[in-house]
Amino acid sequence: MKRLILSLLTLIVSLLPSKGQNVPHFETPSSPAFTILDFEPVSVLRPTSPSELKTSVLSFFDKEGKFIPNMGLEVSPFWLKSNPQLKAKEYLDPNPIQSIKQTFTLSFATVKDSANGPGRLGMGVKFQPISGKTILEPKAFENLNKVLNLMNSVAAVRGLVNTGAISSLAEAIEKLVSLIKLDYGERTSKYYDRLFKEKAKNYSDEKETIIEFLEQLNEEFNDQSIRIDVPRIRKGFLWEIAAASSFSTYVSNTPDKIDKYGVWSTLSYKDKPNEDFLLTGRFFRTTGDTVKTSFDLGLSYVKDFTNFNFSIEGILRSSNMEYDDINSNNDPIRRIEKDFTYRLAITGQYKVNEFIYFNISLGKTYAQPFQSEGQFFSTAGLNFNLFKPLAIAEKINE
Amino acid sequence: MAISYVDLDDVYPIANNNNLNLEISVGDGQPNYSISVFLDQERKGTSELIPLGTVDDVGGKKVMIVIVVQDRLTQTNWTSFTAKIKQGGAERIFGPYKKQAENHLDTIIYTLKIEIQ
Repeated sequence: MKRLILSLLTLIVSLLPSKGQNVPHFETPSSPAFTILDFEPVSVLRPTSPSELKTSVLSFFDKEGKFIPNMGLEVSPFWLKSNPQLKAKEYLDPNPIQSIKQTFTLSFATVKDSANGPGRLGMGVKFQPISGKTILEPKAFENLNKVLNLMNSVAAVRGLVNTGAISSLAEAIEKLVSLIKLDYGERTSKYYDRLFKEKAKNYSDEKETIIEFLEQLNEEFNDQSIRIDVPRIRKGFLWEIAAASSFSTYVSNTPDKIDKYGVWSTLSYKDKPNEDFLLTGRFFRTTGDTVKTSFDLGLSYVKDFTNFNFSIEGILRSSNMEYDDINSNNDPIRRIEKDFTYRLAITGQYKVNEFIYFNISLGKTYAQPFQSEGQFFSTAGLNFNLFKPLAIAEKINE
Repeated sequence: MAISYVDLDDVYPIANNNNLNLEISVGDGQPNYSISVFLDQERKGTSELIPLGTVDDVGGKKVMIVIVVQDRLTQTNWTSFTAKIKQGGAERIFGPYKKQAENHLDTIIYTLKIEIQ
């Protein structure tokens, strides 16, 4: 009966008349070049070394040196090489210079709307002058480090076997158990003593065999370690800046004329894991016969509860349109129209169970530029999540 | 996910009569790693800063540094570490030793043996 009522409710809600639109992307785009083209390439290359970068750049061009359409490239120059001087502490809590270095990303994309039509090239840049502080979830971090410490002890005994300081399997196990005792106490060491002796039954005292045994142990610990997810919690201010422009690539198929450009800036603040403030500014200019300019300034607040989250957002939009026209005397003029509109929205999402989410949005959306007044809207709907996320929890013997 | 072993050997000629201290730093921003340092078979410590002892304590012995780094960064697969022996005003840097993990979540195990002469 309960299921029948739920099904009926689902049907009713999905049939509710709704005006308006979904909540727009409020944050800085992850790939500005793709956003400026309103296009997500099928193939996105993300090189991680200078040689991969070279190959990726070359794959953007055909034999005649022209752009191949529908390609995407994202590259973070800082991460193309090893950075031995970068300690975890600086990476997780970077100063502004380090933050810009490690978040600086360039993106490129090519698109062609039709077979014979002009192509377009998008180029974008994104970086964070302030990244806040990233905290690794302490319990998961500790669990992972326990397994890595066990692997370290096994590797140390392997090293001692390699130098000849340890020459039998029994000695290797004894040394390994003594190291575990130092770290985790008598009880845990006894557990591992039994476990290792059981596993060592098929191995002999030859050096290569002892090493094989130890490496096999580490494979098993490694399998445990990779199942431990260490969630990241960001705290403090985050300031992200992005910019992008798109170019027409007419006959020559080389960048010709900027047809659109935009700049995004987002400042957010997170103090508690379930709360987020966001201030966003966006500027767009489209060139051509008609020049359109728009500037958005928005503020949002998001709060998560156990099964419910809601957000409030307000965006102010100033628009400007310039185009050639004829006045009442039939004289050619440059007409300039300016407009101002805003959007206000409250959005809520309730988690019915692991698979079903109920969404509701209320508010007033933008007036269409130079055409009509903004409309009030309300939407309601259900989301189905058919693939249950796997909870990963690994128990480690203590 | 795979494990790669990187086995390294080097030598440290004693520079003066001061005590020896070891400083280790794991690079590439990797936050999940484990360190241990041995003087012959004795474990001297598991932290970034380890006093190795006097010249008499360490002379003719082998220092073994074991670093386990699991690649947990999405931005890079690089792992690296640098070791520094400080003896009074003298300083000798070993590394940086680097290895790029083939896949995300791969583990690199470095074993650096330094003979103190």
